[in-house]
Amino acid sequence: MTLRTPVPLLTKRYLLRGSHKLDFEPRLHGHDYRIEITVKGPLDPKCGWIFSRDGLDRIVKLHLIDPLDGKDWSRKFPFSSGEALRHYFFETLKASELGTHLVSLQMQETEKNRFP
Amino acid sequence: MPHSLPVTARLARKAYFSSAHRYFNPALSEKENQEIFGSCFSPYGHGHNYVLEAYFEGPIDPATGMVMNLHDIDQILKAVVGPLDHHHLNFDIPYFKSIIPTTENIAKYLFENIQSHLQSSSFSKVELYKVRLHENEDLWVDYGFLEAAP
Repeated sequence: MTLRTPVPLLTKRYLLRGSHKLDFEPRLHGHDYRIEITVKGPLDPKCGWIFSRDGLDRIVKLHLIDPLDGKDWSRKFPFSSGEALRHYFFETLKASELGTHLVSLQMQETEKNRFP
Repeated sequence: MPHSLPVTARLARKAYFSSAHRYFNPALSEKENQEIFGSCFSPYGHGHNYVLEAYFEGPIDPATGMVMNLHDIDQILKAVVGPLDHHHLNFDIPYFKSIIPTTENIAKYLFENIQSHLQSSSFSKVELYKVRLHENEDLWVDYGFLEAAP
């Protein structure tokens, strides 16, 4: 249902690099994943934004970039398909301090495919 | 091929503008501003090549098959973004004297202005349902009647 009060959503995009292998492509290979994180919330009257940019950067760095960037994800997760990774990343942020602000996490694997 | 058209349709159009801004709340001390806004607080400001996408929904004119002519949309978008283009938002735009020109607030400003231009045009039955404002490739704000937002 469409709301009749206009609301803002903020999206920031991050680079996360990792390698994986798949059933149909069992050789280890990697991608420069683009992770698009969308957050909601009321406009903070003091700062004029929904969420602090530095705050979002810190959370993403702590929970995704530091532990995962440049790693072999096929050793870290039971499945390392794009569908599965997108889900793990979303659930990781959902359980973090970003929790209630998080609306969606979309992932672009290559120019030709994304996991919305 | 079906010959009848649906009653309503959606369309979107882009517009570009380049503006300077700084994040600064006069009610806070210099130190607090620095802590909250970091590099966005610099007294001179800095700029972005903003990309605005405006999304419209409205009745299809049976005479033309269109909701709105792109030329008419461009006239409205130009009237709204023109005054911002190549200006310092904090210094030159009265609305942003008291409101921090964050991407969220600029998106809200654009949404409300396009809405009011639309309502006073001959396309008052067309609704602006969303704007997406890109500050750069890695940061954007959607503002409008968003289905995903609770």
